[in-house]
Amino acid sequence: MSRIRDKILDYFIRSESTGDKGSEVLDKELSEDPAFDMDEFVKYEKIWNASSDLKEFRKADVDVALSAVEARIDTPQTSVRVIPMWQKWSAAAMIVIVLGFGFYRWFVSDRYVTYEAIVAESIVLPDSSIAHLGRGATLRYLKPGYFSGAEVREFYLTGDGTFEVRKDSSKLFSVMSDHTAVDALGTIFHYEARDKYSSTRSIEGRIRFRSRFGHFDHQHLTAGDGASFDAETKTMVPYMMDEVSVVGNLVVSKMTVNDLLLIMRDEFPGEFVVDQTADLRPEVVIQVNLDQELPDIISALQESDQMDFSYDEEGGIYTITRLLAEDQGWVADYTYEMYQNDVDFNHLSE
Amino acid sequence: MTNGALDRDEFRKLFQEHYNLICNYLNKRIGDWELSQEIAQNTFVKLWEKREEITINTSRKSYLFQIARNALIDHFRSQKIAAGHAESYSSSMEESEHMPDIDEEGFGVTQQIAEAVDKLKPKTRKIFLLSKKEGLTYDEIADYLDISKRTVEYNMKNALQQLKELLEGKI
Repeated sequence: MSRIRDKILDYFIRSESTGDKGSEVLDKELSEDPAFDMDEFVKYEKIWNASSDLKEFRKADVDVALSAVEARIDTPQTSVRVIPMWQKWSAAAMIVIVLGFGFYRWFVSDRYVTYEAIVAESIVLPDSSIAHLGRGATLRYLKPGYFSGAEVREFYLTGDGTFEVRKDSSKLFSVMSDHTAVDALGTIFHYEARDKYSSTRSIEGRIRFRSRFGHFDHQHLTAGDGASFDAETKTMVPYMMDEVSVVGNLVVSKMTVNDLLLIMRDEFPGEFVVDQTADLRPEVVIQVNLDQELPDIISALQESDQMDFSYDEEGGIYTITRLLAEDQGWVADYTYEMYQNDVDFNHLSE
Repeated sequence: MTNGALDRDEFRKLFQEHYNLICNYLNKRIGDWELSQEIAQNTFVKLWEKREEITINTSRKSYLFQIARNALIDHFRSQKIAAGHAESYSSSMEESEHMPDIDEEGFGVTQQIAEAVDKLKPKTRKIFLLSKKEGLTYDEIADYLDISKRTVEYNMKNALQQLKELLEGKI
């Protein structure tokens, strides 16, 4: 099923990429495949063709337009507007609150520490939990003296990090980003917060993923489950382990090792880097779901019966120590090493 | 599809579902996005004013499109009066009176795709839109985003597969 699906997808993507010639080859392959289902093909074709009309399709700000229309519908009677006394008091109170908040921010700013990870690294938090921060991530939290007195173990993250939470059932461990937060008591989870997009996945134990502004219901996630939220579209998408996810979960097949590594380099910047000049062209068929965490992908590669794949891992940096791939009797034996600092993926021997 | 008098919540829902569709439909006719939005808003105001007239036999969507067509005819008529372009008015009028249903023009499918695209992961969405909306080649996208062409292809495959799943049973 996934094989014929891949062929159909290839038909559209590759034909656009390589022109009519590639398309004809795939066309023949498809039509001769006994698993080919014309109805399914037509569905893909309809979406592919109609999506070309996106060039002409424009999107208006519907909320703004709706407000404008509702304002016209509810046109108030024109009259001299007398500002009631309570509104004046409300305005005065608002000014006091704003000024007070500014003072408060100034007062508390000295109580926080902000840690910025120049490279991917692990830090021990004031409660002995461990944060494995991705390159460029920042984590803000109360200084140790203030931290121990707080009711919640609270952190503010930008970028991505994996948290090994020290168990303390009396104090919630809460990591926040601009739009969402992840709460835990004692578990391991991954959290990524980039501008308006945030996502999390429980690696071990149970976590709660919530919107800070009530845009979606709390999501309770157990090991393997994840969820993401896009604040721009206000869309929350859960990824449950035991069901086929609507978004993602595409199995990639018929991909060269080199292509796979290139994609992994792009998908996991700072953690998995490939030198573009590396000569890796064994045409092995690899099937791996790339819509998962890097450790899971590495495990899948290890389990592949078409490759001998071994690696070392330290602090989220993967060093491939052996990659043996076989294709139609031809065997290529490669040894690679990846360096953390100069992020080179060197071809050491063949 | 509900029939009968429209309440405010239903009106909002109808607005959110069809406003962009009508704007794009009008824009294709008159080639002026701002004006299209203005006419589309007038259409919804009229719909609200006439909400009691929606009979049990009238689909709200059809009624809405009928108002949009009439609003467009009104626009052409006022254009004629203002500029005296009788000829263009006549042909525009003729054209608008034979307007096909909006869905027939494929805008309905495109709108559904546009909404489904919003549900893609940010990176996949960006690559898909650079290809389909901006018309960039895969090489250009790879260059622009500083990623490999294979990653572009992978994300395009992912996008098409996810869109197919998201739109299953809808188109």
